[in-house]
Formats: sequence, C-alpha cells, structure tokens
Amino acid sequence: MARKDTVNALIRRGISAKVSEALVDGGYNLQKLKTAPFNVITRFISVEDAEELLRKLGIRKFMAEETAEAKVEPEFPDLVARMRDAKKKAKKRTKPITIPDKVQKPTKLEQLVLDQMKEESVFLPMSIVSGLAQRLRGVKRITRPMVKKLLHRVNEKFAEHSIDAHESIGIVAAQSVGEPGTQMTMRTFHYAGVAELSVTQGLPRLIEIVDARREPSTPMMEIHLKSRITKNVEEVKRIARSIELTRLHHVADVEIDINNMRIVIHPDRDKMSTKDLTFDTLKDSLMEERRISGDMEVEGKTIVITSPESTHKKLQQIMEIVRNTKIKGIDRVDRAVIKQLNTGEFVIFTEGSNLEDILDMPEIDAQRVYTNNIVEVCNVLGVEAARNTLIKEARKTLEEQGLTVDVRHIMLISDMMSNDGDIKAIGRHGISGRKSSILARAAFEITSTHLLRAGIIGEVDTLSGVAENIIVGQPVTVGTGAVELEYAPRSARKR
Amino acid sequence: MKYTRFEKARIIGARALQISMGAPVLVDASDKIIDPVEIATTEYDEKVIPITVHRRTGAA
Amino acid sequence: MVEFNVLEHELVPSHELLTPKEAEAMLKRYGITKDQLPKIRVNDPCIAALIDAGKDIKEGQIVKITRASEVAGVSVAYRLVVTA
Repeated sequence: MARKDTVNALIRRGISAKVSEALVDGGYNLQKLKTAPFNVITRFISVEDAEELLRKLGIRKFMAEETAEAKVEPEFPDLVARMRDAKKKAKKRTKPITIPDKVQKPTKLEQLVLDQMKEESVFLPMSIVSGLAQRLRGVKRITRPMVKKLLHRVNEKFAEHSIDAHESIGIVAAQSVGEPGTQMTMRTFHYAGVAELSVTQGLPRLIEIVDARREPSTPMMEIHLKSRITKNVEEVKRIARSIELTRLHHVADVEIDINNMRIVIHPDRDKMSTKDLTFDTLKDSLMEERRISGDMEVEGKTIVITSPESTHKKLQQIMEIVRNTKIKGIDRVDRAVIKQLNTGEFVIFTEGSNLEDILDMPEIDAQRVYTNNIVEVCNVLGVEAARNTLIKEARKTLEEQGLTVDVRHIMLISDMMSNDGDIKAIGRHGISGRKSSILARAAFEITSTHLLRAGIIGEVDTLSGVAENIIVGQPVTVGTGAVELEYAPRSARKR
Repeated sequence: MKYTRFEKARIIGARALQISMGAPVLVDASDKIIDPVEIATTEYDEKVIPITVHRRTGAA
Repeated sequence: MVEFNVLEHELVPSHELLTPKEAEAMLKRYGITKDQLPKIRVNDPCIAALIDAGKDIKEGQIVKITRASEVAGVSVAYRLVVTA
C-alpha cells in the first residue's frame, strides 16, 4: 500500500511510471530523493532519466554543479589556485617518499667511549659521552684501562647528581611553572619582532597552551623560503601577497539588483592590480564556487549573476556567498607580512595559520615552517612535533616575560600532555579528568557528580595516588611513602 | 647501598621511633645525645642500623 | 594529508619501527608491559608517512623515537601504536 502511494507521489510530480517504480524499489521516496547524491541515483535509473528527474523535482543544486563542470577547465595562472586544484584531486601521494636518516652517528672517539660503556654496563647520556670524547681529543695514547677508569669516575659523579627515585617531579614542575606565573602580567603586548602583528603573550598565552586550545587567539605562522628566493625582496613580497586570503568583496563592489533579481559585481581595477588579479581569475573563482546557483554573464566590465531564486531573502543569501567567494590565497590566512632577519633572509609572518595548505607550496622551505597552533601541528606533523612546539611555545612565553624556568619542568608538562598520542589539556577535560581515582577527581572539580555516580555504580578506589591518600589520611605514595623497609641482619648489611 | 634521601629519611625515622620506645641503642653516646632522632642519625652514620630498603623494579 | 614528507620537517624527530624481537628486549629491560608505554596514533602523520614509505605498521607495534635533547644530547623514547 505504502509503496503504491510513494510511486504515485512521484508520478504526480511528472516522473514516468517506470522510473518511479525503479526508484521506489531502490528504497527512495520523495523526501530521500531531494538529498540523494547524483551518482547513487544513477545506479537505479539511467543518467538521462536521473537528470530529468531532478529537473522535474526542482532540485537546483545539481544543476549548479553540472553547469560548473560542463564548462571547460580554465587555466589558472595563479600558483596558489593551481596547487589548490591538485590537492583536491590527490588524496594519495604522487611521488614516493623515503625515510630521512636523522639519527646522528657517533664520532670515532664517541664510539670508543660507547663501546667501553657497553662492556662495563654503564649508562651515560649522549651529552656526557660527547663531552668526554671532546676531552679525549688530542690525547696521544688512549688505552682501554684509561677509558675504563674515566668512565667509572664519571659515572660516580653522574650518580651523585642524578635525581632520586620517587622524587615528586610532577608537583615540583607545577610549582616551578606556577610560581613565575604569578609574576606574569595579564596584559598582552605587541609582538616585539614584527610591528604589525600582535600575538598573545604572557599569562593568557600560557593558559592557552596548557589548556590545549584548538585555535589560539592569535594564530601565527613563520614561513621561510627556499634558499634561492629568500634574499629576493620582490619575489618574497609576491609570494606573501599570493598567500593572503582575498575575497571578492576586497576587490569588487557587489550589489543586488532587486528589480531584475540579479547580483551585479563591479571589479575595482586598482585593487585588483595590487593583488595581481585579472578579470578572468575573478570569473573562474566565481564559477568554482559551487554554492552559487544561477547563470553568470559578463556585461562589459561587470559580472552579472542571474539567480533563479524567487524571494529577496534567498537573493540576499546568495549575495553574501558571492561577496565572500575566495579569489586568491590560503584559507584562514588573513594577513602576510615580511621581515628581514639579521641573516639577510626574508621571512613571511602570517596572521592566521593553515599548515596543511602552506606545506605543499613550491617556493617555501617546508622543513622550517613554524606555527604557534599546537593542535594543528599535531594534526599535520604528528604528536612528536606537537610536543616540541609545546615546549618551544611555553619557553618563549616565559622567557618573553623575563622568567627563567628550567626546561625540564616544561618538558615534563609537554610529555604528559602528549603521552596518549594527541594533545590533552591539563585540566578536567584532559589529564586531570582521566584519573582513575574517584576521590581525586572529586577533590579536583565538580565534587558531587563524581561521588554520586561512583556511589550508584559501586566503584572502587584503589588509593594509589596522592590526593586520595591525603583524603583518607594515609602516607602518600610519593617520596618517603614509596620506601619499603625491611630488617637487615648483620650478614646482609653492606658497608 | 647508596640510599636516596627519602630512604635515608625513612630509615632514620623508623629507627628513631624504635629508640624512642625503648629499643637498645647500638652506638655508644648515651651521656652526650638524648634526642632519639640524633641517636638514630649517629647510628646511621656509623652504618649500624639493621634496616634496609627493598627496591622494587618494574610495575608497582 | 600533504605531499610534503613530514618526517623531514625540523620539528619531527626520527621515528623507527622496532622488530618484535627488539620490542620484547626493550620491554624486558625496562620491566614494563606494552600498555604502559606512551602512545602514538596509527593515523599520526608520521606513522602515515612511514607506511607510505613502505613500512607495514599496525596497532600493537612499537615505534622508537630518537630526539635531540637539550639536556641529554640524545634522548630515546618509545611509543606504542594504537588506533584512534
């Protein structure tokens, strides 16, 4: 019964009986057809029938798509647009890649020391091995007993200076970063380096970093260029201009012609030339914009878009889309300025960050592109790169305020935030909220919820952490509380 | 064994508690020092305390 | 995904896949089980790059990361590959 009704509904709309039946058999009804993708429908009916179907149902958007595709693929002189196109087509790599060898090989002397270390089962970090090798340079006869003696002496000193096990490094790190935090200002200054860009600094920035915010309030990129271009001011300027995002309303006047139900665009010659844009580029970008349905015509030096929409409101909406059409540049990059470093090279600083689109640009030195958007780094370059960025940004923020914090504390914080493979905030939405102890979470924030839920389920708290042991009054499992004593009869005691 | 500062503190503390509760003192200094902690510390320095630390490797 | 080989970026340290034997030796040396290691996602850009370069990396394997460290010269870390 229902099937017949659905078929009739389609027939009433002007679709042939055969096509209607085929569609309903395929599981479609009038509602579903309005949103069904074109290529899925063609599984059930022929392409021509599908087109007729859509026309009859009045589904405009397919028409808009088709008109764009039907036109011949235009030539894009603009390098950014060219690259944008290639990226859209390629989801897979076009060229194979090799794994770079980033591990530094030890020098001969270092290797000598390392071999001895292995023999003596001594562990020393590479910086000390290098230092030792440095001192051994120039020594005429280096014998194995000599190195052995050196190693033992160095190891003794190293052990003396090593941190004790069960040291409460977490709380020490928190204090070491928190205390200077009280000395930081709440205000943000202008970025000392580049006069035109202002970046969040001080306490607000540190809070952003530690909270693992998706988008910093002032995202910024630092882009170096390939060595052959980097000293050429004009070339660098050109690239900077091509990166800045330009929308239609930046270079043209867009008006609604209500009487004729159309949108008239008057390009501004001067603005267009400063952005290196041609009339054709404007046209092509408009055609690329899939959300604009309707016909586009050129009348002299203006572009006219006639819309099939009937209401004024819909026309307004279309005008907004037209105004905001991206003509040139990289998404989210609002401004690009140039600065010359004291090495002589020119560097581009951008307001706004888009790592993914920048990295594939041919003229830039992709290996050195830097952004302050940590979550973006994690998504594009991986968690290890994000960890390094975390350390760099936190250090920078503290140093700018004149505060010195040992890097190890910052490294610990970064390690904790990047431990799970993505960047987690410190607060209750991240690490602190993931603790297994109910009491610890209850003591941190939103007390009643945690306790109530745990009580209802019947959860168990194993009292293995710090906060919960304090609550119940037992010795904490850190520092002295981690020591396990036993009786040592005289024979077992070592001198 | 080279003790960490936590281990040292724990050992001296435990020994001081024992001394304070009347345990025989293992070092000869009864007229000079009377504070249990001081006595325990002296015992520790003389390496005569029969307490050691069991260190666990691996998971808790 | 970008065409650029992210493994070559300045901020990215060396990522190497451990053989099952090497992995076991490492776990034994530290006295830990696999799940106690820090993690890395299987769709992490660096893992994806390694896969594109020919390494067959799956969940449960261990990656050795060799970082240049300011305090230790060179610092080695291990990450367990997990799904998102």
